[in-house]
Amino acid sequence: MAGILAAAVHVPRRRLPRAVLADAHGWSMPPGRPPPGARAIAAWDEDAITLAVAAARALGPVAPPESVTLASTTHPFADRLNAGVVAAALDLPDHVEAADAGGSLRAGLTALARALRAVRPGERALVCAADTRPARPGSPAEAQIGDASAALLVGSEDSLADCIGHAVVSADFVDHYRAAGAAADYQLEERWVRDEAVARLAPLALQRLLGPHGLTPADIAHAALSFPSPALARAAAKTTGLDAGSEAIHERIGHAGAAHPLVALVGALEAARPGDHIVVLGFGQGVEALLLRATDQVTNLRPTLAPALANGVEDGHYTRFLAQRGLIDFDWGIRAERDLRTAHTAAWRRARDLLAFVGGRCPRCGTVQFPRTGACVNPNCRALEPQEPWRLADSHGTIASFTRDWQATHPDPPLIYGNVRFAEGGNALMEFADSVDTELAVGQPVAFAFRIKDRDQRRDFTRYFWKAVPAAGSIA
Amino acid sequence: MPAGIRDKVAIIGMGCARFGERWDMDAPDLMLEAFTEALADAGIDRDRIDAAWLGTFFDEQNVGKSALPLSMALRLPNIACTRVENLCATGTEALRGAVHAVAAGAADIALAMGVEKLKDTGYSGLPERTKGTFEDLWLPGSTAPGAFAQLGEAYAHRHGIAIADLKRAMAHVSVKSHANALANPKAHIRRAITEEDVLQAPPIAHPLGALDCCGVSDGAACAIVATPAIARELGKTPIVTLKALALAASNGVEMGHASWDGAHTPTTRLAAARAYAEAGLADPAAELDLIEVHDCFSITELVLMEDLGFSAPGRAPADILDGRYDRDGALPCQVDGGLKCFGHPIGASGLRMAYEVYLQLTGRAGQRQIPNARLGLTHNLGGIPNRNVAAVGIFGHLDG
Repeated sequence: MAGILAAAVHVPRRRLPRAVLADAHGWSMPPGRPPPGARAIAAWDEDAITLAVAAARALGPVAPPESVTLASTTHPFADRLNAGVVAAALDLPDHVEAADAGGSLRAGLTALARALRAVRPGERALVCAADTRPARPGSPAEAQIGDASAALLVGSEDSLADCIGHAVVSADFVDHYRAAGAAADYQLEERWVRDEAVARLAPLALQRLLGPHGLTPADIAHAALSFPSPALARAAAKTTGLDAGSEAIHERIGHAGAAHPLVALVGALEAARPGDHIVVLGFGQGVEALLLRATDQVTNLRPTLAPALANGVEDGHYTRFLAQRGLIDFDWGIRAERDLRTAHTAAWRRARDLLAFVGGRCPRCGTVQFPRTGACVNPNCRALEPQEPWRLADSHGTIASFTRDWQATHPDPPLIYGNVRFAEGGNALMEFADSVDTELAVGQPVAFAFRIKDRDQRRDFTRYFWKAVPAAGSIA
Repeated sequence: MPAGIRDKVAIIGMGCARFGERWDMDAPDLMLEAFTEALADAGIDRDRIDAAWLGTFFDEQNVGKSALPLSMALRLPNIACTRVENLCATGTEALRGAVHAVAAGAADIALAMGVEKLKDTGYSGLPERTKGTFEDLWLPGSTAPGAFAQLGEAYAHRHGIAIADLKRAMAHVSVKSHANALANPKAHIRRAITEEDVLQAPPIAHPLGALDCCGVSDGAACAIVATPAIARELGKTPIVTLKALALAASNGVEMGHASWDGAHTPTTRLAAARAYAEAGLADPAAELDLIEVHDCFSITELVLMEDLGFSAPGRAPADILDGRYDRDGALPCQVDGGLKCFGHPIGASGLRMAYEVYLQLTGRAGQRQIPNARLGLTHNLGGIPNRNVAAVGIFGHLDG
């Protein structure tokens, strides 16, 4: 019986208060109370790929998977395997199968269900879901959407929760849609969605799920509901008899798109006690349902959603958000005209260095260095010998120097970078991420995160690399 | 140990264009402005030049590749011409080519020209450029001010100095250079500033503000070098010679090894040691009459005072604030105004430094003249603190 071995979410650091949106758009609507809370907004250097990598790394040390799936409705590439970039960032071996999944707001749940069915005994599957969905300024979706990701490791041994049922009611119900390449969703009236889709399909899906097990909604300790808005989630709870639970995810993060069912599931796992039944309902062209039972191991789960809900930095710079999403034609200055054409031959040659943050270790003196070369950087060695690959991504570092550079062109000025010393020796000049509103000091600890390095706007190509992030607890 | 070049090469003429935003001049025009002065100063016919070195960095911004732009701008007589580049140390590198040719006997008279036309970009600061096919994929998109700015936090941490106090010493560096440039008609910027001006200037890259940064300017400077015999034959008095011209290049330690503290330039220390040894200087701080160092940013000059051995480790800020390196201090630094007031036309700066030392040593520095100047040093740094080429030149009198 396949189950969940590990689970984690990643939520971007910044939260855009809904009151800021209401204030910006207040001229266009009748006076009224803004929706409460805030929505998570991805940093300029985050996308569905980097969010997925972050969630997968938040799982902590786990046994390596035989497959990786990235579910999203905002894959950065339509044709360049996004899950393959995730696999490369996790430095997985090349026999690992990578696949993308998409098409609906329940794609994360669909991918999870498939992985649970398909994973072979003794093997594991990594299911990641992430979304950074676009919205038009002033739309309801702009306030409802939140950028986030989740990662679950699926397998058959030592699970936190076993999957004991799955059901689906498929329906080409167009509550909203986004054509390929479109800039934003087209959203229909919520009352119709509530009455004709949620109220009809959710109870039917739950019945198909629970019926064979002789369970009723009262037997379900935790419901992980993924519906586009809090109102629709409440309607689902009411019509199914499930306990709606907390609206904290909607209130403090927003609806995380294809990742939402899995984000909600992580929330349920964090609250679950051994033996609890968990139901996940995912809405999106139908309703999909998953039934799980928590095991004794569930209390070992290290929370990642609860801290994300509690932390997060309020960011009211709405025009910065719009400029970084390309929703306003911001003047980035002449320096931004620089051509960022990629030499793909060089990028492939150095793919492991760049995507997996792998440096070198001198076989003679043991000095770790980045990048890996055929000549040791240790001034007391300088051996002209090939170096062993040495992964730095999971290492830690300290800040040896830093600056905030306002002359450099950057989507989130100032560009912050400095010399970072690795714990095992060696150093590298690195950009700092998530640091604009952070106190920095020489000697401060940093961890490493996989982020967008920059984007070649002319040729629509995103380049990725690793950045230093002030370690948790050192944020001012 | 090689025999070296000490006293084997004399400077018989130098020229320097007026540095600044020369909107009406392109690189060939700037070269001619410097060259005509040098030729007249040398008192020789152009066709006596046996070989020439062109130092220029931003070829895509400036002139094309190879040394042809030099040969064609000056209509040299189809002699051997070579282009050299070593980032911001390019000017000294061009001089080094010419000096070595004469020292080796491969040329009797050689020309070194440094030129840079930076003001055709249409924006402020140095032009954006690629760092390489692989390096563009991982190195941060740093600028020159940002790269050098990192010396600030690292130095403050290393020596236990508050950033606010460090910034005051940095400000003094700029104030001093601005005061010196008032007496220099060839400087780009000739305007007195105060410590308050510097501290209140807009931030560029922490902890550097706008007045901690040298300007971006066009310029050219050149030197004509020859054997001491030719200098004598031309009646040069005094005869200025190269006592040493030493280089040291980073090999990756600062970039990748944890042994670098981020607060100094090891290459400068090495190049200086080599230069002092070749020039026979036992106590450089006492023996040198003036120094021209690479003050691309105020923090750079501060750190260099220690790297060149003029201030004890951690003591540069105090020495600077004490006026040790002011015009009337124990060791005048940037007597001509430095990169701060000339700007940094990259290929030209090393030769512009030599130009001031040459004028001082021949008693022709006018209002800026240091009495009895007999020994001068130039320091030219190409690159960034994390990887660079340091070039130290020592100039003196043939009989001194």
